[in-house]
Amino acid sequence: MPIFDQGYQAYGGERRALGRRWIPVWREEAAPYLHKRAFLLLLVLALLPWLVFGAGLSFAKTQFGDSSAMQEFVKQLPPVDESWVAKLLTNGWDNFLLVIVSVWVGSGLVARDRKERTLEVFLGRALGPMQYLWAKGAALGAYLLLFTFVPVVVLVVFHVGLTGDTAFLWQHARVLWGTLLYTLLGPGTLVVTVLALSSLSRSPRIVGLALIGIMFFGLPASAILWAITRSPMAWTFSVLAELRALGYHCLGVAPEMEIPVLHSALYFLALLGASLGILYLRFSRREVLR
Amino acid sequence: MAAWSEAAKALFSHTAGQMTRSVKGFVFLGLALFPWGLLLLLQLLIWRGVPVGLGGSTLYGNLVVAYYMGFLIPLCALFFGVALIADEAEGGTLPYLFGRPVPRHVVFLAKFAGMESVLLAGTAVSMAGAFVLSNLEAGALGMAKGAGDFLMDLTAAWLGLLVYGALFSLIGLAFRRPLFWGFLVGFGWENLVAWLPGFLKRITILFHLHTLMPEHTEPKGLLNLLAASESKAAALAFLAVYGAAFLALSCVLARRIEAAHLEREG
Repeated sequence: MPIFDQGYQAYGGERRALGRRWIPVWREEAAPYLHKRAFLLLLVLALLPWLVFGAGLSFAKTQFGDSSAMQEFVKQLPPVDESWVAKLLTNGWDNFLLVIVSVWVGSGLVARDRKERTLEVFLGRALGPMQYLWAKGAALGAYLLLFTFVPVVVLVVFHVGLTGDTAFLWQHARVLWGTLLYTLLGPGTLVVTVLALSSLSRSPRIVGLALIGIMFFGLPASAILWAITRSPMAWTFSVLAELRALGYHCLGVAPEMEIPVLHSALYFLALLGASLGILYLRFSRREVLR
Repeated sequence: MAAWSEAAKALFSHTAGQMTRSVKGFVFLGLALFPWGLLLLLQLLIWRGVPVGLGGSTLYGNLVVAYYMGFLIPLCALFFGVALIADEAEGGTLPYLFGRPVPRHVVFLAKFAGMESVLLAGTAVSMAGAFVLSNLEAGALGMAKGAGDFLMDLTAAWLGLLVYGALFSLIGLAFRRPLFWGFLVGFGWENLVAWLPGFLKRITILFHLHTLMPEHTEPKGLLNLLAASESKAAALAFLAVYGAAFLALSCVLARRIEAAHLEREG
C-alpha cells in the first residue's frame, strides 16, 4: 500500500509496565561498551589480581603435590579469608581501573544526554527522573560490580569447589556479606556521586576531568596532611583511601590507615547525602534541562 | 607574516585571558594555592607548640615530589592541554578558527603558548610561596641557601608543564577520546613505569623530571638495588626531544585535521 494511502494506525507494539520502562535506557547505556575491545580488556585486567592471587592461591593450596618441600611452601601462603579478600578488594590496581571505568562510562551518563538534548525526550515521556537516574546508575553499577561483588562470589565458589570445604561458607560468611555491604556503601555511593557530577555539566570531558581531579587530588594531599598531623582525619580528602578503609571495615579487618569505622561510615553517608541532594536540586525543578 | 603575528598575539592573549577568567582557571588557582594552606597549617601547629611529624623543608620536598610533580603538573597539563582544541570543537568554533587566513599550526602554537604562559606563571607563584612558607624558621639566610634547590625544582616543574602540555595537546588532537588516553598515559603509564628499574622508564617524562630535581626520588627497598640513573644533561636532552617531537606532531596533525569532523565524547 502506498504510504499516502495509510491512515492513522494505533501503535500495535508492546507497552512496558511503568516499573520496567527504565530497562531500554539501561540497555542502551550499558550494552555499547560490550562491543569495545579496549573496554573489555580493562575488565579482564581488573580481574587479573583475582585470578593470580585469589584463584591461584586456592589452586596452590589444594592441587600442589604432597612433597614435604611443597607442603612447607604451601604453609607459607596466606589463608583465603576476610583479610586476604579485603586486600584484593581494595588493591591499588583495581581502584585505578575502577576510576578509569567510572570516567569512561560515568562521565557521560547525564552530561551526554544534556549535550545532545535527549534528556528532554527521556523526561518528556513516561519516564520519571527516578527511573531515568536508576537506569543510568545501573549501567555504571553493573560494571563496577565486576570490580567488587562478582569476583568475590567467583572466588568463594572456586575455593569451595576446589577444597570441598563447605564449612567455609559459614565460617567466613563475612567474606560474602561484608563484600556486599562494601559494594553498596562504597562503589554504590561512587555511582550516585558520578551521576550527580554528570548532571552538573553538558560536557562529559569536563565531568571526567573533575572526577579524575577529585580522585587523584586526595591521595597526595591526604598523605602530606597525614605526615603533618598524623591524624586519620587527614584521609578525608582522599576518596580512594576512604574506599580502601571501608573495604577493610566491612570485612572486619583493621585498616592500615587507622581510620575509625564510624568515620568511614559517616564519610560515605555524607557523600551519598550530598550527591542525592545535588540530584534532587537538579531534577526536581528541571534545572538539569537548562 | 605581520598579519599572522597579529593574529597569533590575539589568540595568545585570548587563550590566556580565557584561562584566567574561567571556572577551570579558578580550579587551577585553588589547586595551586593548596600547598600554601598545608604549610600555613604546619606553621600554625609549630607556633602553638603542637608536635609535628616533619619540618618545613622536609614538607616542601614532599610537596614538590608528591604534589607538584605527581599530581598538579600532570593534571593541569591534562586539564588544559586536552581542552586546547577540544573546547573549540565542542563549542563549534573550530571551523571558524581554522577557516581564518592563518596557518593552522600558528593557531595551535599561539593557543599552546597562551596556555603555557598561565600555567608556568601560576606554578611559579605557587612554588615560590610554598618555598618561602616552608623556610620561615630558617630566615633569609636559610632561604638564600636553599634558593639553588628551589630554582632547580622550578626548572623541572616548568619543563614538566611544557612537555606534558605538548603531550596532552597532541593526545587532544589525535584521539577521539583524548581524556581517557591522556589519563591512561598521565596517571597510569607515567606513574607505573617511571618507578620501574631498567631502561623502560626513559620513555616516561616523570623519570627525567625526577633526575633534574634535587630531592631524593630514587625508589626505596629492593627496587633501589635495580634503580638506574642518568645525568642531568641526558634528562634535559630527553625532555627537549620529547617536547619538540610532541609539538611537531601536534602541528602536523593540526594542519591535516578536518575541523568539522572533530566530534568528541570525552
